[in-house]
Amino acid sequence: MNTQTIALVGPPNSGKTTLFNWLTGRKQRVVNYPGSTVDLAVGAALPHLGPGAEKIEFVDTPGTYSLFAKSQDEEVTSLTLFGGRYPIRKVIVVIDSTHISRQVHLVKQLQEAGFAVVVALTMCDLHEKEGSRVDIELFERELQAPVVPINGVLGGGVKDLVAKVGAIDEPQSEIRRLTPWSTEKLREVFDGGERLARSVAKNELRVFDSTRGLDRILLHPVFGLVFFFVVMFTLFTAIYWAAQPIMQAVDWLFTMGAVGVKYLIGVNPISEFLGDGVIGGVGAVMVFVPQIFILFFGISLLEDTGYLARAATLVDRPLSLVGLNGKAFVPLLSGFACAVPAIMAARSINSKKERWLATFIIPFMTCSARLPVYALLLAFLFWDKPWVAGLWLAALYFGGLVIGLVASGLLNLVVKSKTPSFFLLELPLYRRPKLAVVLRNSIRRTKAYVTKTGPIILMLSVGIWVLTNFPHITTHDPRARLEQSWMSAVGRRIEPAFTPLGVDWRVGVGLMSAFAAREVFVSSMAVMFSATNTGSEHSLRASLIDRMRHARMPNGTPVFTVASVAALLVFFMLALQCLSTVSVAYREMRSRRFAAFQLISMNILAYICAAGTYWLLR
Amino acid sequence: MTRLSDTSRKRPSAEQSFTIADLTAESIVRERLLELGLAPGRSVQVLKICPFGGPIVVRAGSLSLALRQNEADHIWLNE
Repeated sequence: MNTQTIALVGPPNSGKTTLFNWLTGRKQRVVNYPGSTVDLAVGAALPHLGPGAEKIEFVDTPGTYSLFAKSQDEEVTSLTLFGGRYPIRKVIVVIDSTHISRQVHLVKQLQEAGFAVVVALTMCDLHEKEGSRVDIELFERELQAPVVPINGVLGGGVKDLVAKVGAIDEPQSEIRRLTPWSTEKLREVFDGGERLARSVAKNELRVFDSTRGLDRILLHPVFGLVFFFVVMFTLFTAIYWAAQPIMQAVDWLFTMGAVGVKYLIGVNPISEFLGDGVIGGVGAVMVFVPQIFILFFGISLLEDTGYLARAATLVDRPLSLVGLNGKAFVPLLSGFACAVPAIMAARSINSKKERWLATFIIPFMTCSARLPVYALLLAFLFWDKPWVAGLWLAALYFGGLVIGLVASGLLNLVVKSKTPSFFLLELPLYRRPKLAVVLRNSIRRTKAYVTKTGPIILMLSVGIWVLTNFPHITTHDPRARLEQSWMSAVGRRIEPAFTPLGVDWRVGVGLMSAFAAREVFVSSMAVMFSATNTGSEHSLRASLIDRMRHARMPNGTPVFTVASVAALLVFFMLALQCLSTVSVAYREMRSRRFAAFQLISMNILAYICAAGTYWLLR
Repeated sequence: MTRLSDTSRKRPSAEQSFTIADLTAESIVRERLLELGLAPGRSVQVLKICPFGGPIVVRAGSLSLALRQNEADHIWLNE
């Protein structure tokens, strides 16, 4: 007997992904935000689930309300079922027993298409808690399919489900795409669903009452907005305060690693390459992991409670003014950690145009990698007034956000769209978050950051290490080596390009090396202006700032003035200097033109605005 | 008949039930509303209206749904 491929199909929030985890043991997140599992996950059934389990493979499809797809993620489900990539003959439909009346039609549609169907009924515990019983036999009669109640928390019923799905016969006839249903037919099926719903619960479940009660507060024009801002403020401050010590520890670890390599094999080109190029490159990626993890932990937590759908509803109106909708909220929020997972999160936006706009403006959000640069430049400007520096930092965050939204509003006028835009968002029940689930989700998202940005940043930082150290790799003085390097040769040649920003070729080299990752700017400035590192990050910054104060142009004027540093800040606020972002945008939008347009237009905008800032403040 | 959007504007806090009379949205939105259970003959209740002309949150059976004023314009209710 060959391996059977069985698809899991179900509406958003039905517990489909939890069931998939129970079936395959594969790490995957649970969705509490309608429509966010766009990737297909495939996994073999866990062997302990019964005889024959090793012959079964499951495909988890994106949540769908019906087989007539209305968004990109729903199309993925149709494609999986009918596209022929997987030989699917049997389907497990995951139905939420508290929403039974409006989910039955999905079962009927799958049966009409010719699939052999087993129904996995979730959330039965909510009924039992309130003293009603789910009559499985009645369900089986009405649905004409085996029905297995599943306990998502404990995994009860999963073995039974595997046995039933193994036992049903494969359909004899061909699988065929459906012809659209008439309103009457849909209504008839809904009536059947109503009968089932009434058989389970005479009265409405009390959990719905408590959810509506909470919504009265959390969607309230005043309290709702206050709560929203408090939650977001807490999340953002946590990113910085909670992550700071861990980031310093990670940074210290990699610095020590680089030192250790040189100690072990002596100071020579190879140890410098390993220490500064490779270990330094890995460190550049890893140092942001704590921050990104904390933000994703917060997002996953809010998602699992059900609040994220409310937050999306609250911000829908403001976002609609610039051509976006509430579903762009989570991707934009993630952009404050890192644009790479944020662009991936934009998949859940159902209209093509809105996804295009959101993906375009995500890099304007202030990501973690800009922080070390902002910290350096603001400390230069406001060394003895940290609170002023803090205010300007907030202004830079806000500036990036506002310019991103304005850009979206302008592009909205130009970009054409064929698919109609609509916003219908189901608000799921509020639930107590499950720590295991939240942890799994946040780890999965953080992993996406490491695996997608890691190789590119590592490759680029190795490349930039070579460019800044060769051809005079044997020279001992690092500054002399850098000044005679290939990178400096290029920097000198294109120095006129940096003059409008008020800086010389040395800063230009820093700006170019920032294309590996923005924070590399700080370390290349340290080498360029030969700041000495006495161990802690703070003293490196102090030493670098001191050097920056004394840096002079050939004609004797200072390199770093209020005008030129402000120009650099503006440049970093707007420029798309992250090739990992470019590559992920290209892959997600499947368009070279999009990626090129984004890269070129954002950098031109940054350059013009930075030059303008310098010119104004000069 | 009145539009869902008008009803919600007039009585923002009443949480009164209405019966859906007709859906006049364009095909894809209409179909989705039907699939969510917002069909003619079923009852809906306006739960909340978000500030600054934001989405309307309605309830139909076990469903809580946020929809824009745009979509609500095409849902007609019996008074």
